Amino acid sequence: MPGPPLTLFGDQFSAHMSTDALKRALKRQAYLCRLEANASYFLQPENAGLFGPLHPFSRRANETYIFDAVMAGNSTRGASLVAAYHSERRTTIPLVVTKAVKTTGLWPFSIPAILARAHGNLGVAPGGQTARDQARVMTAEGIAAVL
Amino acid sequence: MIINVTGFLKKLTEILSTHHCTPASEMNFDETSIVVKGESLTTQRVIHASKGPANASLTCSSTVASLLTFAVASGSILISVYVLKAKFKEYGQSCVNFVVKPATRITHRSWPGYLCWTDNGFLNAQLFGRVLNLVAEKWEVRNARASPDTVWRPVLGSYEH
Repeated sequence: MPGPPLTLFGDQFSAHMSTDALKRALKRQAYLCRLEANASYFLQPENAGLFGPLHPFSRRANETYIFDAVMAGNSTRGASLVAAYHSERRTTIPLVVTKAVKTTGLWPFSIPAILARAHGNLGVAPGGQTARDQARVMTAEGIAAVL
Repeated sequence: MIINVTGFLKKLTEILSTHHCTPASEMNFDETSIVVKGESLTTQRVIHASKGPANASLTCSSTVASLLTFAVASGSILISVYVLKAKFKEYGQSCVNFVVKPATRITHRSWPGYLCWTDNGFLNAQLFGRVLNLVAEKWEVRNARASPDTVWRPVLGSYEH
């Protein structure tokens, strides 16, 4: 098949793992890469960077749209949907997307960056030869024992 | 957990080393629900039904829509899908009172947004399959991934004369 394959990174949500979805993906020559369970919050670019800015902006946008809807006698549910759409378009900029992808280490693909992120988020210190590394491992084990 | 992540990295390294991948061919998709909590609009992670939240929710929230975004590693968004809730009757049909309202114009940058309805307001397997087809179609148009047929037909056509 000429051209690069389409690689889709997603979590292990049941709807994403159905046989129907897999069949369709294979037919279209798209790879569905499932991120590890309970690791999607730090390995997924969308969780790491995209949905964060959406939250404060949508709060402000919603107030404006709701106020307009109430004054015009329109549905507030519709106003909230428009506010969500507005917020998504405003906060999802290329810089944010590329930064999130780079932070998670998926592109450019960096194994040390992904492992460092996994270690940091799971509170596991990587073992090493130096005294500082050993102290880090002991501290991590101590914290894990307390938790 | 670290072992699982290491295993995933091994598989991913294998894929990336055996295929020619570009930032335009790597994509991440995830679903987040947009809810109204109190008086403010906020986002909430979509959790599987069998997994209850860690703490009891003290505030009532109503889901406005569930947003599924396909973000490309090159920095663009391919499509975003809004999943809304509707009560379907027999034969899978339902009347929905819905009006598309104009939102404030922001920039010239745009990507297609789709609206669809399900029983529970969240993505199900059937809908996800259809969304996958749509994503593949859009991606092929944007990246002009040609099939062997389309590559060879014009070449062979020149020999017909």
